[in-house]
Amino acid sequence: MIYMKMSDEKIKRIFDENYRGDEGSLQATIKLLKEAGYSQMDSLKALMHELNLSMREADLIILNAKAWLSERDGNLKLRDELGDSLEG
Amino acid sequence: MRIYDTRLGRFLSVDPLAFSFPWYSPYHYAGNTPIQAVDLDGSEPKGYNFNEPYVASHSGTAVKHIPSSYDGQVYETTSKSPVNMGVVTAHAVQDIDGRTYLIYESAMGTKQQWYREYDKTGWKGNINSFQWQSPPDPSKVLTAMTVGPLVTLPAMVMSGFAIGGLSSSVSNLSMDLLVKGNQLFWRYAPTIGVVGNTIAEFLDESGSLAGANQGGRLVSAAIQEGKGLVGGLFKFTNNKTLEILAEKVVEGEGKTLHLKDMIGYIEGMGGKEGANNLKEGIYDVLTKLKEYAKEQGFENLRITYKRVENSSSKTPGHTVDKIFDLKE
Repeated sequence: MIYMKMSDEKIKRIFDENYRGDEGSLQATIKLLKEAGYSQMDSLKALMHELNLSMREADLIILNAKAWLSERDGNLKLRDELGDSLEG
Repeated sequence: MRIYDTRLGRFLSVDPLAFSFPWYSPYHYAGNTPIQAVDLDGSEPKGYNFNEPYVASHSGTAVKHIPSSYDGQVYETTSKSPVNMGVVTAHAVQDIDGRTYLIYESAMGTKQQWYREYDKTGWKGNINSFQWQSPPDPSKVLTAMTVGPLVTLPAMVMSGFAIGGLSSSVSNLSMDLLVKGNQLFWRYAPTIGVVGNTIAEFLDESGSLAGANQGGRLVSAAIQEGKGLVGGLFKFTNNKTLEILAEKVVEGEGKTLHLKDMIGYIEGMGGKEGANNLKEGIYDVLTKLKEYAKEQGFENLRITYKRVENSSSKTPGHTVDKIFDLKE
């Protein structure tokens, strides 16, 4: 976690070198962020900062990113449980 | 003072007290009981402390009398039970959150029930068990219930579980396993006696106690804010990590911290099965967020959260709006 830093030099370089404005390069960039050790939340904040996305827009991308597919079910379960806890 | 390697969960140098504790590895951490204890200087483990008063209130008809003041730990009383347990002995224990449990010693049998013994100054270091006669009688299964503010029994009911070498002897038994905080209670565990008084060690063996590790209680929390956002990183006993992020809005004349459109990610769950039993962890996270808001001087914490579209919940896509009164 970068804590409240939205991005750093390494993230910026990964974006500059890989993101070309299309879906394929976006997925590749997220994969490279993961391989570089950044978490889902780090990647979300990087998307907000580098692509000027809202939190909700960035969240949808990370939640459904191919690189984080293995965590998707866990995330959905977490969100269900969180909603239940707050509504209960 | 010894250097601790968090990756290994071990100290890198020999325990200066190793000679006095030959049954432990000289590199062990907290007596191999990392859930209930810490080992700040690498010498002896230190258990949790309890400063909360004893919870006197109770519900149900099974208990006639609960002492109204805290003067030790284990209370004994007789009562009549609606399920014909006869005269029982009720033992009250508290968990790490200061909540109180009653465990009924219902009748003599081969069952055992384990509990940890606490007093005002903390864990007394004893893990006691009730010894029962044979043969086992399912009608006399021990009953655990909660009293005080906790209404729902945070139990995980399982059909058998494995504890190291005991797996063959207990895996075919139907048993209930109650996990709350760092405590573990068995119900109907006729052969568990050979476990001895090393419950905490089993909690340390990730995977050997299926379910206990899935529950996952909070071991560290970091909450920070900046750029108009509040973020949190939470780590659990089962090595899972949860991160949350929300927009920070101060409202209600500065009295309310609003965590707007909160989102969360969990890592290391490995799919829906592994993500079961998240409730305890989420409860811990919400508690930490409330503490954080209170420390910042707010009287209320408001969380708005949009449920996932097309989720299996009753209200997919619905925006949850919850306000916690921190003055309570």
